[in-house]
Amino acid sequence: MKIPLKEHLYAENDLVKACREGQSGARSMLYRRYAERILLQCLRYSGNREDAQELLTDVFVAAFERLHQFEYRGEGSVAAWLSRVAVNHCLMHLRKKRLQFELLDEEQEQHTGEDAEVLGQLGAKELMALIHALPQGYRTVFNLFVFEEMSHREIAALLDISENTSKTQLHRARHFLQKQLMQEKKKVQ
Amino acid sequence: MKHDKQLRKTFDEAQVNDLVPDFDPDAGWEEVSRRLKPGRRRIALNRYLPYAVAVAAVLLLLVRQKENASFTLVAFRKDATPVQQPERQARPVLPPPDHSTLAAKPLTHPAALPAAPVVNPVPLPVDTGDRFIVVEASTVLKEALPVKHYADIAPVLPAAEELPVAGGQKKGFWRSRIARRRIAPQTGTKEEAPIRGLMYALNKE
Repeated sequence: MKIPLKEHLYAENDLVKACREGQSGARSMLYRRYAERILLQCLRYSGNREDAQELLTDVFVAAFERLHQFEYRGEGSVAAWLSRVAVNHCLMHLRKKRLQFELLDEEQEQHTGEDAEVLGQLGAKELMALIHALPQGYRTVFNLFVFEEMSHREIAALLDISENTSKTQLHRARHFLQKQLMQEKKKVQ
Repeated sequence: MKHDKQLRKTFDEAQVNDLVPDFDPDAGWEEVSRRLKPGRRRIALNRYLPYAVAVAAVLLLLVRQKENASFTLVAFRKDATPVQQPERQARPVLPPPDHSTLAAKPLTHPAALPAAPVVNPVPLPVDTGDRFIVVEASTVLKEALPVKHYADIAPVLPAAEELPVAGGQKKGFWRSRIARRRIAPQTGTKEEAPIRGLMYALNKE
């Protein structure tokens, strides 16, 4: 049974079904619905806009080609599936760019809860700028842990590193962000 | 953890226009659809290929059944002329060898050959049973040897002073070299037998 495209459009599952059936316009609608979210995700990982837009195209091409593999598991599953495809593509892109997990020489400082709180209160633009300033390894682990809500074990398996490396990279990333934030504060004052 | 949640919320609520001001979803979609076009063709091919194959198979069967004769005609044309094979020529039949003439010819023992003055001594191998030694042979001996045989062994042989006298690696070296040239000191051919006899006689003298 064909789903009338213009009437349904608000249920994820129906949109995916319409795409699978090859209804004209269904793919375009799926793209328009999720493109922004995926673009921001790609931007967080890649660190620059050009790469992010290329990744966005790659993600949707791959998603449409493998749409038959998708299993609907309730509301939000399309977004989660696309997000997962995006993460895989971003990591593949970073691997091509020789992702390295370097440890910068930093002074060991105690985290202050105040800084972390301020980090949470930042706007998306400022936060994105700070994330872009992170070294690639820190950024990748930070994104996977904070935004994809992965455990250190999962991150270690995905990036082929040890759990301790993942923990260290996250710790250093947080520290780096707080340091950057302090510098920004000083500049403003 | 609490702050991580806050960070996620910040990005969830973020508008793409704040971060990527001139993002154009239409242009993005055009690019995606352009990249997907070959995929569409492939999908269409996958969808219709089985039908196309089935139809082609049925057509082929029908053609075969109806026009079987014409296939035969194509395969065996009536006016085709067979290729002329060249006739084999009969081999000339040779007469059987006449063994009686061989028996009639008396064999001369090399030792019975007339002695001649020794000029230009040539080192030649003599089989003494164990290993090679070098003797100086006379020109008579040189003449007595079959030319082919002499030509075969002469370039291989080392000079007398070069040949090691006793043991060690060199002996094996020369032995292997000689063996490689297929001049077996121990097992001579029938043709070599009289020559070995002659050499033995000369050595004894």
